[in-house]
Amino acid sequence: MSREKASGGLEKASAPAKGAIVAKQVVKTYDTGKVKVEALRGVDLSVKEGDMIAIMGPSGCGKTTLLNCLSGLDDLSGGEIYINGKPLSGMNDRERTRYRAEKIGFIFQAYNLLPVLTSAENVELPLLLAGKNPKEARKLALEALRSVGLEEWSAHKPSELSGGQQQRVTIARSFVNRPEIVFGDEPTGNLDSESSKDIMGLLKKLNKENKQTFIIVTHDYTVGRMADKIVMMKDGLIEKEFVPAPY
Amino acid sequence: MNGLQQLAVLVAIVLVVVGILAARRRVFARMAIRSILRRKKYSVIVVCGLLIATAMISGSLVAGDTLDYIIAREVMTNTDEVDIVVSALNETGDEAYFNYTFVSQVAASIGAGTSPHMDKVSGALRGYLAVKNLRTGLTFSQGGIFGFEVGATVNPLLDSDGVPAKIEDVSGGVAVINSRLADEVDAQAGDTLAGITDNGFPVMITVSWVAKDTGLANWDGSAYAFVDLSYAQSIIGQPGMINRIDVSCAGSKSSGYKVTDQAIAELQQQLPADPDFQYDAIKADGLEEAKAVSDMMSQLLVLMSSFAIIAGAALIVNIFVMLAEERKTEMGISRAIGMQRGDLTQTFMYEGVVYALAAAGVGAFAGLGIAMVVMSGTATIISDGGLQFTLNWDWASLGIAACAGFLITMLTVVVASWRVSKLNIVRAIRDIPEPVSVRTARRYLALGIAGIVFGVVASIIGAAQDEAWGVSAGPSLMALGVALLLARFVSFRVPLSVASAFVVFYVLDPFNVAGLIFGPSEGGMEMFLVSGLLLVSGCVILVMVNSDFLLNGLMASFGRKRSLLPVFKVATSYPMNKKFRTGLSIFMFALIMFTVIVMAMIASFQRESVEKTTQQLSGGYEILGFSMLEIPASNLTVGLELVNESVGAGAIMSYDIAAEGPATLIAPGQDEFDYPMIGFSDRMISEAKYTLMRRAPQYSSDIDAWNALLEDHSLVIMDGSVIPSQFGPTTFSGVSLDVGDVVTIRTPLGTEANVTIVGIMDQYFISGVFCSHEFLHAINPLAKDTLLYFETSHLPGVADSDVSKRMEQVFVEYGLTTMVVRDTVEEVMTMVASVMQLMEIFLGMGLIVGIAGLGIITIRNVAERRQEIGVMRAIGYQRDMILKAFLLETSFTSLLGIIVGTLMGLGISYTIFEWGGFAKMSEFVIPWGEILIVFAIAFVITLAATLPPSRKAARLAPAEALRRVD
Repeated sequence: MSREKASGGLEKASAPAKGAIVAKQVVKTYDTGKVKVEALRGVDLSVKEGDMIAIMGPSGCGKTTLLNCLSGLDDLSGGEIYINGKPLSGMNDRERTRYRAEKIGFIFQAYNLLPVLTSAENVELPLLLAGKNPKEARKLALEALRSVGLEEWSAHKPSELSGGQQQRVTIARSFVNRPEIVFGDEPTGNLDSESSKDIMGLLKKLNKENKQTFIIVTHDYTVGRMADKIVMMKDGLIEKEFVPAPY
Repeated sequence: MNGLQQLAVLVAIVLVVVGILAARRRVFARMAIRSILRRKKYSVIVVCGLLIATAMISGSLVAGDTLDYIIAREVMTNTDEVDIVVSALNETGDEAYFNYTFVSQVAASIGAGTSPHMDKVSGALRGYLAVKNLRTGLTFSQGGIFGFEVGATVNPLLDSDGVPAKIEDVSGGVAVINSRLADEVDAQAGDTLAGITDNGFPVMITVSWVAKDTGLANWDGSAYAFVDLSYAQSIIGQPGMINRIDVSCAGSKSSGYKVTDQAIAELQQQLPADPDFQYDAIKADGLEEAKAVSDMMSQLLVLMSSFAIIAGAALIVNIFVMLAEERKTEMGISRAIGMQRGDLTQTFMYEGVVYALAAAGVGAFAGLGIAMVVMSGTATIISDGGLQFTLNWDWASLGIAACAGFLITMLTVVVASWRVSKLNIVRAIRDIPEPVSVRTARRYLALGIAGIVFGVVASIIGAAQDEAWGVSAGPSLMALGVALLLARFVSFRVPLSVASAFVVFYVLDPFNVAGLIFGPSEGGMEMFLVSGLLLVSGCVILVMVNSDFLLNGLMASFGRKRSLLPVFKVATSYPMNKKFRTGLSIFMFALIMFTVIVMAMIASFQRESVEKTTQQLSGGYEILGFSMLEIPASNLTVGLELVNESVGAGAIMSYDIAAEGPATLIAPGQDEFDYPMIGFSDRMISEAKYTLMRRAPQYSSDIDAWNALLEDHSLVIMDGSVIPSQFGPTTFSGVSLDVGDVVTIRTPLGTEANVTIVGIMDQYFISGVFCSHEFLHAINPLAKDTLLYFETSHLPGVADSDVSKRMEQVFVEYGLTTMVVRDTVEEVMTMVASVMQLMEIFLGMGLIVGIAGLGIITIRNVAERRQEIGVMRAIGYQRDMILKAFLLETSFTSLLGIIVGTLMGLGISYTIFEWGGFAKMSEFVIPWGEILIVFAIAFVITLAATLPPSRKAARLAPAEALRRVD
């Protein structure tokens, strides 16, 4: 499949709106010295504000790499990514980090909470990084935990929580500072089907209520179909994009 | 079997056992080797951390070897061919003259082959000689004249190039002088020296040449003029007589001493019983003494090394716990697929064997560097850098260090491996922390019971045998044991806080609680180790069980700056979440800092004690004088006026004269001691010039006790050296006495008197049985008024040393030797303080353990927290915040260790100050400058060691860090 064809169905990026992401000809190559691996081979993508996009595809197709590039976690080998019209390549590491702290939330498959901090401490970290008053940060963190049903677990450390509970804490952390965009890398990958359904319901609710943009990488179609749009990837390229059947 | 052989056998047994086990299950050995090779850099760092114990032992032993070599070399150089010196004593115990024919007798027996263990013999006559160089005008009152058999001496005189020089021209009044005498009076070949012998005979000597201070010229370290034997006999007034026979044993210079005993036996056959000949095996004894001194130094350094070795053991445990945590998942998987717990232990053990072997080998040689530092320091202290030394070692020492280091490492590795192999398979695979299980609770129960049992045993031993280690460790272990038992019922915090606080309080013991419970106890150097371990352990436990309070306090104090808050939160949470690891790291730092601080404080006590010590030792007299001959009163007055005229009018304010006479002290139940009697003048007694450390209860003041000596001649006062040392059961003088004791005094003439001790002086500078001048002369007619005490007026610009020097010049013909008390005290105290500082440096090298430990921990932290670093970067932590978090974490642990060690070191130093006898002599002055330097060095090097891994963490790309692949 040609690159043109693969990207053909997507909106062209011209004047991105708030919370909107545009990727243009994004290339990412990993060079280990002995082998060069082209993880992304020229991806074009446009996401509107308030969209919930699911990126799907087989293992090794470049889903997580694309997510890392879109979120500014990884550098690009080529192409450009615009967030709210601002090119990521124009930001240095410090600006990108600040941008992540202020505008972006993350949910990871392995929860990735800091094990030495309690649930409340984990959730309040982004607020403290943004310079919020510690008391105010704690109050907002507890509210966030309440909204994911974990207020009473606020003083527990991650090791004392179940997988589903840990992922809820991660979600609370991801939206506590009201980010414009939330990236999720297999957010239900470690959960059973019931917990997955719960978590996705929660994400959907946040998406609708807060008008936040969600970009989720998943290999699970039952998760993907809850998104507004599914982007299918294959061999480092976007194969197709479609609106899933209503859930 | 010697020590090395025993250790080598043990090492061989360990290696054979490990080898057999490895051969049976090769896959585990293979896994271990691959684990080592997987990260070579890290393996190198682990070996560096593990080699500390070996290096410290090796350094201690090599320092001993080098010292042995230096002293032995000195002995060999100074004795040269002479192995035995024969002298004789008269009935009063003084050196006697005897006929030269005895030398001929021995020489004849050598010639006839009846004394096969001797090959050379010569006679010599030695006497006192005060000297003045007529060219320079310089005088020296403590010189000697040495008459030797020119052409037949056993020991040669060497010229400045070390070559046996021509001595044919040494005859009559022509002499060879040694460098010492040449230095004292600035003499050179051709100078004329005016001298006076101890029988008052005036002589004029022409210097032929100056001999190098070695061999004969270095005899007993004095300044000598060497003259022809017959000339010496004539000026000393002993024609045909000698007072020394030099004997060379059969064999070479370096091997002859081995037949010293046989040679002495042959001498005893040749020489009569009268006079009372003394056979001094100078070379054999000197070499033996060298060995004893070097062994003592090695033992002291090894004892001091114990702290670093224990800290090193803690490091090994820490390293293995971290290795286990790093490989937790793979260990869990290994267990899941059928690996036994013992198999895991074995795998770790194989890895440990490789590390231990490498560390032992490298550590033994690294010890050479440590020895070099120690010996350089020693050379600087004892000879102001003038002592030339070459690092010299016995390969056996390196072998012992390597074997001992290997065994210590292996023992710790086995214990650590066993500990880390105890894991829950599922939790390990999922990388979830182990909860406090029933088994852990059982372990605490076992530990608690063990603590109580060992505590009771130690207390019983301490109480029964007055052993201070038992008195200190017993109740401390019991308290910790009880706390562990109570922790089964309540939270850890309360019982462990109380117990650890008790340990700290009890060991510091400001109110002498141990003394009240157990009575007096005695301890030696081991108490330093015991106290250090107890105090540091107690304080670290106290800190760790209350770490949340500490953190809250720190957050409240330093976390107010909002930009720092997220950094601070993470930096302090990690170490407190890994309490065992953090506790061990703090323990390592604290233990070493403790030792360094104690040494710095003792050095400070020594430096600060100069004033008070001078006050106590001098009795208010600035200069003490010892004359060979009594100075007639009129000559003394005239001479002192001369001194005052030349250095400044009124420089010498007043003086007192005391008499000194030889005597033997017989105390019930103790060996007889030669102990001089000192007769103080009435003024010295009535003014109680010297303060008393102890006095009989019937006297209300020191003056009363002193005055009692004037009224009752059966009363005496002793010097302070008869009281046991504050640091052990021994006394400086060898005889142990106290007030109220009745002793017998026997003079050389055989007269005896029973006297009662009514006081013990603070001073121990001049040993003696102190009585009234009148009584001494009555009981001992041999006593002479040869002790002089001078008070100076401290005129501006007139140093006591100038006065002292001038007096020696003026009274040179009486052989007056003077000593400025303050200068001598200062010299001694400075030397002791320097030794302490040397120990400080030696112990400070143990800080490498703590620093290496934290460096390794930081490297591991970066690897372990890779994904967490990724998350932190993803949610908004800047690179510099990650760097700050890691550095702050390192600083938190190291600073806590440094502070705990410093506080405990200061605490025990105060106890030593109060109870160890320093309070009377010194001031409690904390050398903040020195402490801050040590503090800064430790902290800065720690930061430098942990900076590279911390920067690596900060530079991790977030997406890379989030990947699971390490």
